[in-house]
Formats: sequence, structure tokens, C-alpha cells
Amino acid sequence: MSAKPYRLHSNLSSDLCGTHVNRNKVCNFTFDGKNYTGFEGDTLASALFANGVRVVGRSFKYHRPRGVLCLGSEEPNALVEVGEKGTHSPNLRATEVNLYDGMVARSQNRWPSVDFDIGHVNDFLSPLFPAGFYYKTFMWPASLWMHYEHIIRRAAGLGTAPTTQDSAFYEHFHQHCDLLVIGGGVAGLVSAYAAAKSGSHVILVDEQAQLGGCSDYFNAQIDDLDHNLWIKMIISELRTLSNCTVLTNTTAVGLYMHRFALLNQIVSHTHQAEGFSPKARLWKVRAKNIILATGALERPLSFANNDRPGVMLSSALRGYLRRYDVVAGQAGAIFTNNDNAYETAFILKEAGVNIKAVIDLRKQIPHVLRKRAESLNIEVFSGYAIVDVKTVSMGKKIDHISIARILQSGRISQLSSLNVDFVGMSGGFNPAVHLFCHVGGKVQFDKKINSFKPKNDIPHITSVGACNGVFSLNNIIKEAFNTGENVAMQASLYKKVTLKKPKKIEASTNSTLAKQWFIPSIRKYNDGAKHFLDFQNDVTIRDIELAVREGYESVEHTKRYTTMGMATDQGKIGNINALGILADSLDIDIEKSLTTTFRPPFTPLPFGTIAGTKAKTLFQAIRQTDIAHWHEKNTIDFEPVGQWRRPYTYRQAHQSRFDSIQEEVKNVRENVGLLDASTLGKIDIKGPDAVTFLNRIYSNSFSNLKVGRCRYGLMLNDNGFIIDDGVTAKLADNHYIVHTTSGGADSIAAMMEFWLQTEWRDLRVFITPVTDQYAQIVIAGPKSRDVLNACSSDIRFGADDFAYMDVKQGHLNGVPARVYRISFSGELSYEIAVPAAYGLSLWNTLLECGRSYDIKPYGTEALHILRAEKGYIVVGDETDGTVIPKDVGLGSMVSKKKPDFIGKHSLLLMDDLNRDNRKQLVGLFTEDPNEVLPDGVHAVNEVKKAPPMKMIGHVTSSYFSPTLKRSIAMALIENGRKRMGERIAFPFDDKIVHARIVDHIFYDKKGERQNV
Amino acid sequence: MSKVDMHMILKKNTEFLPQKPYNPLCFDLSVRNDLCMLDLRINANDTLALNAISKSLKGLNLPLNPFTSVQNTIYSILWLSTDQWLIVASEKQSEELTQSLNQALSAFDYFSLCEVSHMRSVFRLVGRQAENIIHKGGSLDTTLPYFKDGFVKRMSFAEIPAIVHFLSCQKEEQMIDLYVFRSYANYVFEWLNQTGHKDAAL
Repeated sequence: MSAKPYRLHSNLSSDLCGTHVNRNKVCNFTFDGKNYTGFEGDTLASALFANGVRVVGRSFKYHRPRGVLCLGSEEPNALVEVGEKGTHSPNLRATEVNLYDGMVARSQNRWPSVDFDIGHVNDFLSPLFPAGFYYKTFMWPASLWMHYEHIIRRAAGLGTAPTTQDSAFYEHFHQHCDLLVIGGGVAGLVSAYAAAKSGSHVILVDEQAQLGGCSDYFNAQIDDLDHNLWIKMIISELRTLSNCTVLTNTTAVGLYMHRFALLNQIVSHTHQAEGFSPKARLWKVRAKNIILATGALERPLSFANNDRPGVMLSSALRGYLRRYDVVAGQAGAIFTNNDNAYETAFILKEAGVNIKAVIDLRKQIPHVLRKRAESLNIEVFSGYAIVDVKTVSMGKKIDHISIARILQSGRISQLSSLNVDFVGMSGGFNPAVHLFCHVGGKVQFDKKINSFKPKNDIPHITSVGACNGVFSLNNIIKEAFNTGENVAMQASLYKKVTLKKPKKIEASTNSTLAKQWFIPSIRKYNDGAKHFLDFQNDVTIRDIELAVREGYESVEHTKRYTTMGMATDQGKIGNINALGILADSLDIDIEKSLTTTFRPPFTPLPFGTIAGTKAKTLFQAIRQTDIAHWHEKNTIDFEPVGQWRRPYTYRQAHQSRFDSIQEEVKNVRENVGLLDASTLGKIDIKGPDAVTFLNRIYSNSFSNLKVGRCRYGLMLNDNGFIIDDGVTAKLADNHYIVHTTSGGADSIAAMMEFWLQTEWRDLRVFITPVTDQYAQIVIAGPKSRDVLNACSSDIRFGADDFAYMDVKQGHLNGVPARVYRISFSGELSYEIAVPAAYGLSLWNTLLECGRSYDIKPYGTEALHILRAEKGYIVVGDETDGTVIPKDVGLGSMVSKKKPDFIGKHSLLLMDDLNRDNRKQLVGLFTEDPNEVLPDGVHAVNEVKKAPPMKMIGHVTSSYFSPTLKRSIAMALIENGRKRMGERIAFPFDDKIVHARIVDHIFYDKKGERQNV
Repeated sequence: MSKVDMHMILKKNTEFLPQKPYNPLCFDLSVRNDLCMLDLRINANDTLALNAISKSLKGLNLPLNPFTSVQNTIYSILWLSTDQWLIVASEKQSEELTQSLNQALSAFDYFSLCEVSHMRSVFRLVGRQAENIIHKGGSLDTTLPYFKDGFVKRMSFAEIPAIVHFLSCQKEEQMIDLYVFRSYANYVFEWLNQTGHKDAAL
């Protein structure tokens, strides 16, 4: 024996035991602060086994000590945290965590330690915690619920969230294929091989580090060779095919409609991946066909105290031996209802492990098994069961098991005990139908295997092998070849080839298994001896029976009442047993109880994997104008507008934000300001029917718009509500350029295209979104004309030559330019569009030309104050998706002459849109001129001591106006226009502010400043 | 046009987008700055117009099959939809090409020809990993039977609208032009530098 008593260093050939570990590479790691060593290739679970660590966690509700139960992703108990505290990853299954040198791992859900957990008191108080206890126990007194909740949350839960940013890099990868094969066991390998050899693009994935599934821990012969050699040959051939992508360490976590699959590939096994090497890669695969070869999960048996550390699934025992050369203890017993577990007993015994007995629920055992057991000196107890597991060290170590004969009446007799410290249990195998169910597949009960299997009723998704309820190796290989070939025939690149099919297969076969959901115990199981069904959620047989007694008869109701099959387990381990108990309790056939809903993800995946590259600097796609770098050098204040980041104000280091904004506004009113308006949406419209198109898109008419002129337009949706606005310029006959809001450009272009391609196919119009083609700069203020005159241009900017709402095309400083005389500030103003790459140069030139006129750039907040002083609306501020033109004083922009436009019918026919007392846009003056109302604050007629109070509207925009030297606000108030001068109240933040309703145009009502 | 003071002539912004990657990448990345691009929309059934366009493009016909492109030594034409194409040439060809097409189409009233040279930035990706970078950015089916040299498709790349043009699909010599809106160019450059890092190669 080695220094590690549970690592065997077997005398058997290394091909058979410890195949996954490299004994030449030692990995140091810590678990719960203690130092251990393992080998490269170990999982954390196998390394803990090798070091004799049996208790790896505490159960969810009762805080019972728990050990490793399984070999793979179905593990319910061994959930651990990996990584230094704060940057750790919680809830990783130790059975799937590949060991690396320097690993730091911890157990979860215990305090102060996994060996001594205060929460274990729950186990002794378990009669107080039946299923649904939280619905009952804490109903009274309600005032104490907050305290209960705190305690419950501390005691329960799965792990803790990390507190620092995950520094690892993650990414997504999209791929299409003819065939996605999920599962790299024999069935998956053969299916992939058959399809790939026939020309299909195949992706083969398996959650384990090595292909072959469970083939390395069962014995069989193919064409007189060890079956593993034949499998290795298939694997190596698959790896040479360029049309086959093989992904290991990759879990299919979800299957969705249209054969869309999510695969979580673990790229780096260390906790903190270096640099840009991704820690995990989320594959998003769209497959024409999917073959599910996900195998089967072994079922536990529901005997008393079946959750004790050392009680494991039978197949896991031999898996740990064959792969990692580790065993769970010194002496063991196997408890089974089927033939398969005998293989475990034989393999372990042959490797030198002391297997004392096989306890078989069946009275009739195949002669060949009994004979072989006898030859290996393993006692066989047929018709017997384990009726209790006795432990020492507060349930942390098995001392002995009690076994007894099971009588037909269900009672027990001939009680005896067996001194073992580990148990392998096998209740048969459940096809892993989870992925099939993710996509809506239905399952059917197969009495032969005593479990549910897929109905295979989803087109282009086929289950093969054990996950289809087929367990004979011969049949699995035959089925996989057929399915792979059939799928390949549907692919466009199909080529007929001769496949190397095996001629002779010898493997053990399974005889009938015993169907027994409940294993009786010495005591009544309601009296302390818990028979666990769902290990992760601490659901026992008693809980299911209680749920039934309390009326929860539907499997979905029972699931929610008991928490059975919830959380990360998703019914992998205890589901069928629970369904069997439920069916027995209801005295119905299990076929009628059906299964709970298995939901993605099959195994949990970190948030980092879901986010992919969308983190840190790539969190969101950011749009920049050509002047962006200048802005970044000249301000730190930006605000998001759609995907753009626009300068909020150009604040100097010594300035407050408020002062900076006020100065920018004043400068536009008194001198001249410069605004980067490149973000405005721009759509080029051309075609003989362009004006008809515009007349239908906008609520106002464009019929009489002349070439060289601009017009403001309002865009409505089908319901008559305002969705966008902007200025349209007529550049030539049948040629217009439409401006939209910055955030709305893409959706408006898509909407226009939608109408043209669906309802208005007769219109001869083409639209081309050209937002990014142009940099567009606003120069606004009484001195703006002077600045432009200082530039070199063939455009004349004088009042007589260039009237308000004109558009002119020419050159500015040697570059083609389009200039609009439009204003969103109420001042003399021009908007200049040049090809985008010239934007920065134009910006700098205007600043230079305007230096003697005190030109200064202004940001979006000054822009908003300027437009608010003038009473101009902003879509999204003054509108909220329920506002019609009349509400904001733009009723005149709804054409009465046009035969049709989007929203017209709603405006005409909907009574609600024609009410007189709708909320209408008004201005507000607060009684205290220095009090600036918050945006969105609600208005009431009458202030009461406490809500509810009838709300009559809300503030849409609110600022301190440097021009008026007081606060101004715009608001939508019920029947507002008829309430001019009225005093209304705004209760907020424990105070009440009163304001008077006034006209919403606060400044230059006649428009004299912009028309100069 | 009035006389222009030479020092006031507007200059192109050459610093908007970095020209060289800042990370060691698993493919060759370059930025194509010297392109003239025209967005052409026309009814594909208008044979007369198509012939006129072909003449002005020195005999190059608009590709009518979806997801295809054609090119000669001067022009590339990318199929964008059933009635939309992107004509790409070197910047030097800009004036001549625009004039020639406008002249060819002057007899027709139902078309749209927009100068969009400044609208998109073009990244060229070369090397064995180039296609993988596209797959990292978004969903694109490269198993289609018509996926071959010249394949062009609009796609959502890194969650932004993009056009991918596979100049060469050959595994060893992949060459892809990635067209993105100019305003996203710096974001895409950053994205390519991180996701295309040599350590992140598949």
C-alpha cells in the first residue's frame, strides 16, 4: 500500500487502474485549509478520496455530513468553492473539478467547519422541519418573519457569491453543423464516426476530459479485443477527420428550439486563467440534426441513512478505481437490485479491495453471477436489503450496516450486521433524458428498466444508447451506426463509405431488476431513520408522503412543496425514486405520475460564461463620433444616448457641473456655441414615390415642401402615439434626407424598410441609412453667422441668401458640405454635415474661426436647457409611448388632408385619444424660483397626509434656466392647457413643492431670435 | 466656390482608429482606409439598368445570387440583398466611379446611389484563425454548400451590424474583410484585440 491508503497502486496493469492520473506529476492543494497532494489527472473528488477525506460537505436542510456520491456531473453532495475567498467560484462539483497544483478548495454550507457544523442540530430537530415547513412554521407572528428569514438564509443556501470582480476572460463561439452528437461514450462515438465518415460536419462533445464514457469501467470484448482498444481506434480516427470537431470538458448545458444547443467548454482548469486565454468558452451551436448519447445515471436505493459518507453509487466506485486508482474505504458491500452492480464487486475485488458481500433485493440471481462471486469469496445475500447504516463520529463514518431479509409483507427478518466502511448501491439506471426534455421532448415509462425513456418525438433529435433505454453493448453499437448513417444521408455532402463495423461483441447482459422504491428499515422511517430521495435538497420518502397527505398530488406540486428535483440537481439523482414513492402513495401507476420538468442548465455555468466577452471594456458596444477623442480630452462628463456616449458638459477642473452647464447655455444665447450632433440619425430617401412615402410615415404633410427646404416631422406608431421626430430636408426632386433622434435611428430605418417590404410594396422608394457617413456639427448663437462667414465656403450664409429652414449644399473649407439652417436652441443656428472623417477638422476649424466670437462647445445638458426654454419637446422626455401630438401642443401637425399615414386611424377612431382632459404639455414655475423639480415627480391636486392621492400628471423636463434666472419645468398635466395659472402640488422627498401652470414656451415665443 | 485659404482646408482624421493591433493576435489584422464605397439600390429585374451599370463598371455584372460577390482588378461588388449592393473600389477611383454610375443611371428614376465611403470601417483578417474570430463574434453558417471564396453576408458581429466578405475561405489562407459602421470601429478594434489574442486561439 502507498502512503495514501486509499490510492491502491494496484498490481494490475496500469491500463486498467488509474488510467486518468499521471503519477509523475504531483499536485499540491488545500481543502478547508489543510494541505494535501494528488496527481495530475485527478479530480478534486478522487484526490480527496486518495487522502482519506470522506466528508466533503453538509446537506442543505439538515446539515448532515455528506461524502461524494457519484463520479460525474450528477454529484449532488460534493459542492465546493474553488479559489481564494472573494475571487472563488462557488458550487462546483468536486467530481468535475480537475485538480491543479496550488488549488485552494473549501466545503460549503457549514459553520464553523465541515467536521463540526452547528447547523447539524437541524437533523435532530427534523420533526420540526417537515416538507413545506417554511410555509407553516413561520406564519406567526408575522412581525418576526424578518428575523426568521435572516436565520433561514444563513443556514440554507448553496455556497457564497464571490465579492470581487472575476478577472478571467470568457468568450462565446458560434458554430453550425450537420450533426451535433452530445455524449462521447460508445453510442456517441459510433454515431459521430458513422456520420463524419459519410461526409457530415459533426461536432462531438463530452463533459469529461476523456472520451469513451463509462467504457473504461466495464468489461467487454469487441472482435476478440478489449473493447477499450476498439473504442480508442474509433476515437483516433475521429480526430483525424477535418469535418469532425471533438470537444472534451464540454457540457451541453441546454437544448432549445430549432436544435440550438449551448455547450460550456472548460478551457482552463486553473481558477484564475491568465491574460486573454479564456477560462471557459460558451459554444452556441445550431445543428441540422442532434444525436443525444447522454448515457444513463445510476439510481440510488432508498434505504435508511442511505446518505451517509461512504455510501456511493456502485458504478462510481469502480469508476474511481479504474480512472484514479482510489477506493472509498477498507471494506465494502454492494447493495443492488440488478446485475450491473456485480461488475463493481468483481472489479474491486480483483483489484484487491475487500468486498465482503453483495446484498441483492432479488430472490433469483443469475447463476453465473453467484458462481463468480463465490469464486471471489464474496458472499451473496439474495432477497436481502440494507435496512440501516450505522455510523460513528456524528454520522461521518460508517461503522457497520444492518442487513435483513425482506419478506413479501414488506417486513424484515433475519437481521444481521456487516462491518464495512463503504457501500456501493445500485437501483438500476435512468436514461439521462434531461436535454431531450429541455426542448419539449416527451418521455414514456419502460417497465423493463423501471425508468422513463424518450419518446423520440422531436424531429431531427434522436436519442441513442443508454439514454434511449438501450443497455446492451451490441444493441448500442448497432443503433448508433444506423442513426449516424441515417443522419449523414440527409446532409448535403453525403458520400457512401464502408464503415468498420464490429463483427463480434461480448459483454455482460442484464437480467430483470427488482422494482422496489422503498426499502424498509429497522425503525419506522418516520422516526429518525431518513430514507433520502433527493440528496441535494434533503428530500426524504417521508416528505413525499406528507405532501401527498396534504393534497399535493401532481408531480409538479409535490416538487414545489418538497423541493424535490429542484436547484442544480434537476432530478438527476432522486427523481425516479421520488416519482415511484409518489405513485405508490397515490396508488397509481408511475406512468401516470410522469416526471417533473427538467430545465436548463443541465449543470450550472458561471455568470462569466454567460456574459462572454461582454464584460469590462467590452461590456457594451459603444459608438463614437469622429470628434470623440477631442471630447475625451476636453471633458469627463458623458451621458449615454442609445449606444453613443455624448459629452454632457465640457467642465473644466475648477468648475462645478452646474456652473459649467449654465455658462454653456449663456454662451449660446449671447455668443456662439458648438455641438457635436453627428449622432443624429440620417436616412437617405430616394425614388419617384418618396413624397408619398414621407406622407405616410409622418403625421404632417410633405407634399408642398420645396427643394432646398426643411420641415420638422412627427412620426407616430399604429396607435397614434409619438415615436420619433426630426427634420427632413428636400435635396432634389425625389430625394430627401430624414433626420431621426440619436437613439431611434436604427429602429426607424428598420420600420421604414418593414413598411416598404410588406404593406407598401407598390411605392418606388429606396431608403439608405447614412448616419455614420456624416459628421454633423451645430453652430448656434447670435454670432454663428459671423463664424461661418469667417470660413471658406461657396455657400452664402446671409439672412437673405439662407433663410430659416433652408438647406444648402456646397463646399466648406474645401470639402463637400450640406448646411441646414435649423434650430433646436431658439437661436440663429446652422447644422453642417461633412463626410465623417472631416468632422474633427471641421470642429477644430470652427473653434478657430470662432475664437474671436467667444465660441465654446456645449454638451447635451445645455442643449436640453436651450430647447426647454424654447418649449421644444424631446421624444422620450415629453413622450412616454402614450402621448399623441395634440397632448404636446402639436395637434396642427396631424394632417387632415392626407388620405392616410401611420397612426391616423387610431387618432380618428379611438375615443380615449380624443378626450379633452388628456394629460397636456404645460410649463411650470415653482413658487420658489430656485427650487428645481425632479424629473418624473408626480403632481396632485390635493395633498393628503399619506397616499393614495390622485395623481394628475408628472414633470417631463426640469432645469434651472440661466436665461430666465429661475427654475423652469415642462409637465404633462390632466387638462393642463385649460388650467393656466392654477397652483398644483408636487409631494416628494418628505416635502411639498407648489408650482403654477404656465405656457410651456418660456423664451422668445415669437421666434424672433432664430429667424434673424 | 470661393477661394479657400489652404491652411483652412479640412483634413481627414487619421487618428480616429489605430492602424496596428496592440496585442499579439492569432491572425493578421489590418485596417483598410483607402476605400471608396457606394451603396447601390436598384430593382434587380430592371435589365436595362443592370446593363447600364455593368457598362460603367467595365463589364462587371452585379452579382444576383445571394451571399455572393464579384470583383475585377478595380472593383468589388458585394451582394447585400435582393435590391442592394455595395460597390467597393480604391479611393482614387471614387470620383470617376461615382460620375460614371450617375451618368449610367441618369436615364432611370428608380434607384439610389449613395456615397458611403465614410460610413464603414473595414478590417482585414488574414490567417488560419480568421474564420474562428468571425464565429466568436456571431452566428454565421460556414457549412452551407455555397460557402466559398467571395461569400458575403450581413451578420450581427459582436452584437453590432456588420458585413463579412470572405475573399478566401481556404483553411490555410483565410482572408476576410469585416465591414462595420465607423462609429463602432474603435469598439470592434478593441474587441478584435482582446478576443483575437493569440492566447485565445482555438
